[in-house]
Amino acid sequence: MTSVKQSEVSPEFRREFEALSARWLADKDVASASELLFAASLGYSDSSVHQAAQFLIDSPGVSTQLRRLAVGRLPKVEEVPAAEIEHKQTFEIRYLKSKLVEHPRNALAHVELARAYVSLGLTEKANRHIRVAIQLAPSSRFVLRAAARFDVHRGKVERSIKALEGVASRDPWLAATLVAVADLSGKPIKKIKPLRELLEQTNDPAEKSELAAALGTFELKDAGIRRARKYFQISAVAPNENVVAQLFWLSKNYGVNFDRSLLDRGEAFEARAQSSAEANDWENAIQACLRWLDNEPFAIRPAFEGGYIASEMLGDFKTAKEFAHRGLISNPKSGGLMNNLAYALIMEGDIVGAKDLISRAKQFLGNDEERERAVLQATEGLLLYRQGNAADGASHYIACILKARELKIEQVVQLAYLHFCYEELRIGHAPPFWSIEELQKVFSGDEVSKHAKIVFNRMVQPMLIARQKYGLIDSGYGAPLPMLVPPT
Amino acid sequence: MSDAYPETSEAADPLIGSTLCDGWVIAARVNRHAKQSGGAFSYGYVATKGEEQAYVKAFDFEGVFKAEDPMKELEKAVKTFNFERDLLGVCEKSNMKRIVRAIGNGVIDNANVPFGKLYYLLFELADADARLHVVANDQGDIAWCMRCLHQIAAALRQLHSKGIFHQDLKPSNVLVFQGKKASKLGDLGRAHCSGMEAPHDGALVPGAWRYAAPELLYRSGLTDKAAQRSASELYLFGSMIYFFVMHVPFTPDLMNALRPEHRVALFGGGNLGVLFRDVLPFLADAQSELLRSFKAKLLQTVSGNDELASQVTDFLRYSTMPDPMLRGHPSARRMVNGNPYELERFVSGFNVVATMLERRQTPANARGT
Repeated sequence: MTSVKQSEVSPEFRREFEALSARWLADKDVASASELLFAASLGYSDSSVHQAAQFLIDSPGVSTQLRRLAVGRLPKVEEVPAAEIEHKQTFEIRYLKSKLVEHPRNALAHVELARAYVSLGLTEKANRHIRVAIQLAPSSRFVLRAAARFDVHRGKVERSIKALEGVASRDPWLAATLVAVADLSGKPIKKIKPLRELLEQTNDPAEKSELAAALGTFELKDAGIRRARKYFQISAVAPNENVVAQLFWLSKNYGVNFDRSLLDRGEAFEARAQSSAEANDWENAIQACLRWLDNEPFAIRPAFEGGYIASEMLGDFKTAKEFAHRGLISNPKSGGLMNNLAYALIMEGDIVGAKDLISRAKQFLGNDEERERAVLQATEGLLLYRQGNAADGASHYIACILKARELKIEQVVQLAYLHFCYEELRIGHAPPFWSIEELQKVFSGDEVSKHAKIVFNRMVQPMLIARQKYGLIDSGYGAPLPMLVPPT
Repeated sequence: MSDAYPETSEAADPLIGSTLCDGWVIAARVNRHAKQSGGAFSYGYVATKGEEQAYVKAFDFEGVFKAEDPMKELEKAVKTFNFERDLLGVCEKSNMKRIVRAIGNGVIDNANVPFGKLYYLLFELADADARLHVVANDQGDIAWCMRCLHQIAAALRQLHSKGIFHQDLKPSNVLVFQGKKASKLGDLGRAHCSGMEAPHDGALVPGAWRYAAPELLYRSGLTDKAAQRSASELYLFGSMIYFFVMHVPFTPDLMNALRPEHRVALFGGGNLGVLFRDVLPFLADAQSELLRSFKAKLLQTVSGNDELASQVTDFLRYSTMPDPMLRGHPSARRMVNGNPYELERFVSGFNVVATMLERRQTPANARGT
C-alpha cells in the first residue's frame, strides 16, 4: 500500500486520524473500524488500519462495499503481471463508449478510447476523441501529453505544438513535451528562454527531470555534448522511465554517467530492453520489448527492436511475427514492419504471403527511406532464392550491400552479406567473395559488429560445417566487394 | 453529538449525579472517548428529568493544559463553546425543525473539572445515528434512506437560509428520532455562520478530512470562500447519497480509484494548484466509475426501476462533480444570477423519490385505494 510520508501529513488530518485510530483500538466495533478505514483511504496508514480492515472482513453482516474497501487496505499478496493481462481492445472500446454515453465530459475516457482506436489502426476515429479530450481539459498535463504523442504518431504535430506553446512555460512536463515534439518534427521552438527559466524555477528533481533531458537533447544537437551535459546531470537526479532510456543511450554514445540501478524501475522497459540487448540477454530483451509495447501500443520502436532481436539474434520467427503484427495494427503503413513480417514468413515457408507483403511494402516506403528500401531489397533477394531464382536473388543482395555501403550503414552491409552467404551455402555454393577461412577470420575478429558475429555463429557457421562435407561449388562472384576490411 | 447511541460506560464517572439547569440530572455516560471539536474536548452523557431524557454535551477543558500554549488553546476552546451555543440559539429562534433542538446550556460548579466549572449543552436525545442503520446492514431500507436524504437536504436548506453552513455533514451527525420516522442534523461545532466568527473559520478542511471535497484535499478550493462553502456542502450531501446506498463515503472510494501518483501529493508542498488541475480528468474518470457501480447497486435495491435509479444517480453526479466549477444541479447552474450549489431541487427530488418508494412499500388497501 502506498502511504503518505508521516512528515508530509497535515497536522489537522493527523489529529483526526489519530483520534479515529485510538477510538478503534478502544471500541473495536464496526462503526469505529469503518471510520478509520475511510480516513486511511486518503493514503495515510498505520498498523491499526490493517487490524480494522481484518476486523471488518471477519465481521458478519458488513456490507459488500465496506468489505471491498477493507480488502483494499490489507497488504497486497502479489500483483498480476502486466504480461498476463489480455488485450481486449474491442471489448474496451465498447466499455469506454458506454461510459461516454453516461459521462460525455470524461476527458480521460476520450483519451483511453483514442488509445484503443489507435491500437486497432483507426487513427481518424482516435483523432476525433483526442480533440474532444483537449476541448474538455485544455490545460491537463495528461491529455496534452497523450495528444502530443498521438500527433507524433500520425505525423501531424502542428496542432499539438500550438496547444503546448500556450501552457509550456507554466508546466515543466508540458515544456518537456513541447521540446521533444519540436525536436522530433524538426520544427523550431519559438521561445526557448522561458523554458530554460522554468527549469531553473522548478525545485522538485522529479518535476524537472524530463524538461532537463529534453533541453539537453536540444543542446546536444545545437551546441554539442559539452553544453548538454549539465542538463543531463540534472535529469539524472530523479528520472522517469523515458529519461532512463535516454540516459542509457547517452551513456553508450557520449559517455554520460549512468546509474544501472535505474534499470530496475517499474516501467523502464525501453532502457531495460536496451540494457538486456547490450548484455546479449535476448530473452529478457524480448520480454522488455513486449512490456514496452504493452505500455505504448502505438509506438513503433518496440515492434522493430523486438522483431529484430527475435529474428536475427534468436531465429524465433513466431515471436518476430507477433511483434510485426502488433506494430502493424497501429502503424499499418510501416514498410519496415512489413519487411520484418515478410522475412519471418519466408523463414517459416510462407512464400505467397511474403511476396504480397513485399509488394505492399514497396508502395508504402517513401523515397527518403533509403535504409528501409535497401533492407527490403535483401528480403526480396531471400524470396527469390527461396523461389529457386538464385541469380536474381544474388543481384538483390549485392544491390542491398552496395546501397548500404553508400549510406555507410556497416551493420546492414555485414548482415546482408551474411544472409547472402547463408542462401548461397544452402544451395551448395561456396561463400561469395571470400574463402571459408577468410570468412571465419573476418567474423571472429573485431572489425565486425557484435550482432554480425552472433548471426554468423547462429546461421552461417553451422551451415559451413554441414555443407563442407559435400564440397562447395564456387558460384564465381569474383573479387570481394569493398564492404569489409579485407582479411590480412 | 456523534455518539448519541445509548452505549453506557461501566466506569464510575464523577459527573454522574450532577444537577444541571431546570432540574436535569446527569444519569449515565454514553461515549467512552472524548470527541475533539475545535480545540475543546467533549463527552456525551444522558440526563434525566422525571420520565424525560436528554443528551448532554459536556465540555472538557482538561486537554487544554496538555497543549504547548495552554492560554491560546483555552481561548479557542471557550470560543468553540460560545460559538456552538450561540449558533444553536439562532437555530432555535428560527424554528429549524430539522436541526437537533438544544434544550438548554449552562455552567455548573463541579470540583472535579478544571476551574471548578462544567460547561455543557443540553439536546433532545436521539435514538441512534444514521451510521448504525446502514454500515452494518447490507439490506438497508431504501425508502427510509431516501426519506432520510430528503430530510438531510431540507435541514441543510434551513441552515443555508440563515447563512449557516454545517461543514461537517457525515453519517454520525445525522441523528434518528421516533423510531426512524424523523432524521435531524446535529453537531454544529464545525459550522460557519456569516454573522459570527468561529475559531475554525480559517481551517483548510473545516470538517472531517475523510469526507471532504477533493478540491480541499488538494488545497485548490475556489477563491470565493462563500462559493467554496456552498460547493463543499453540496459535495458532502452527495457523499451522504453515496453512503446511504454504498455504505462507504464518496471521498475514500474516489481516492481509492486513483493511481498512487495522483494520491500521494495530497499533503505535499509545491504548486498543488497545478496538480489538482492535472488530476481533475482522473477524478472525473473515477467519479464516472463510482457512479456506475452506484447505479448498479441501486438498481438491485429498487427492483430494477431504471428511471428512479437514474434520477438518484444524476443527483449524485451533480453533487459530487470533482471540479467545483461544474458542481451543482444543471437547472440551478443555468440560472444567470442563481446559486449553482442550491439544494432546492435536491429537497424536492428526494421527496418525490422517497414518496414513490414509500407508496410501493405500503399495501394498496392501507392507502385506501
